[in-house]
Parts: sequence; structure tokens; C-alpha cells
Amino acid sequence: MRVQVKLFSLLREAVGHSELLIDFRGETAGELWEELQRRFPALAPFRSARAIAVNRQHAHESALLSDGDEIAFFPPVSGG
Amino acid sequence: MYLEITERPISLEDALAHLDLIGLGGLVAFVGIARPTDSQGCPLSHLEYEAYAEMAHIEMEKLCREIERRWGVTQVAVLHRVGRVEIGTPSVVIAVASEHRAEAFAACQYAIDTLKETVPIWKKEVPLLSKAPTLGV
Repeated sequence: MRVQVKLFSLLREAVGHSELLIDFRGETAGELWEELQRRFPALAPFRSARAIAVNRQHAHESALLSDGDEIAFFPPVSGG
Repeated sequence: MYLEITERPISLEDALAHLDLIGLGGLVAFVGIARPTDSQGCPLSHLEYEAYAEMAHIEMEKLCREIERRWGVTQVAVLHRVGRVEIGTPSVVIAVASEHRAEAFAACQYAIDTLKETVPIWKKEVPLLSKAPTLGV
């Protein structure tokens, strides 16, 4: 499937891109993260502290993905 | 309900302009101000905020719906800055108006606490002085 990945804050800075189109063979958001980490080793330090959104809803790494989904990875939010 | 994520400066007056106070008895507001130091006390030049704007709107709308469900309060305005925020100026403004003060206080507290947990916005603290280079040994 092909999915759109959005990265924010420190994750965006680590990768150097805010948006990516990824062709990927897995099924879950967690597997997508593994794929990203393979392509961008600089993401590894964020593994234990990153949050996930699928189609603009907070999600767990077990969330099942579909072709065309928008998946965002980001550090814990710190607005306010 | 009024929600805004903006690069422009925000103020309490901006929030109040979007509330209908007719028939209501109380208004509670929270204004978050950019602090001059970080958690270690080091002076800051300014803050930079970044948002996942589309999702941030959805999450802000959810928290307003929850305020309506819990307290029956519909007059809520939430404004949040993105981009460069100068020290001493507002980064977030929340205003809640209701018939009686108790629900306005509760709803405003809920709004800022929930925003800080669920709304995808990130703050970057920019130090006033760049760190001294580390000398190799």
C-alpha cells in the first residue's frame, strides 16, 4: 500500500522532511514506523516517546492501515 | 465555539469578541504567556510553536464538545499561536462563558489541561545565548 506520512517537531528535524509518500508492505502503524526507522536511522532515539495519529485521530501502533491513509508521527504534544 | 490557530499575535480581547455573553452570568479565561526562562532557569530568546493544524482543529473541537456535554457550556473560544512567540506575549487564550461561575471555572480548567494533553502542537524553547561550544579533550 501507499501511505502519506507526516512528521512533526523533533521527528521532522531528525529526518529533514515533513511529508513522505511511502510504499510499504506491512499492515500496522507500528510496522510503518519500523520501515521508516530502517530508512531514517535518526528516528531510532524517538521510538519510545513518539505518538501516532492515523487520519488525524490519535492511534496506537497496532492500528491497521489502508492504502491512502495519512499517518503522523510526533513527540508528546507540548502546546499551551 | 470559536477555534483559531494563527501566526498572528492573539489577545484576550480577540477571544471575547467571539463569545455571545447575552443572558450569561460569568466568564473565565486562561491566557498562557511565553515564559522568559526554561525549566533550568536559562534565559530564552523566544518560543516557536508548530502545529499539525488539521488535527489540532479536530482535537480542539472534541474538547469543546466534551465541555458542552459535561457542563452544558457552549460559549468557548480557543486561540493558539504558531510560529515565533515573543517572551511575555500570549501563546494560548481560552475563554469560557456560562450562566454561573462554577461551570465556567471547571470548563476552562478542563480546556487548558486537555489541550496540553491531546492537541498536536509543539513548543520549542529558543535560548537567548547559544550554548558554549564543548571543548574536546
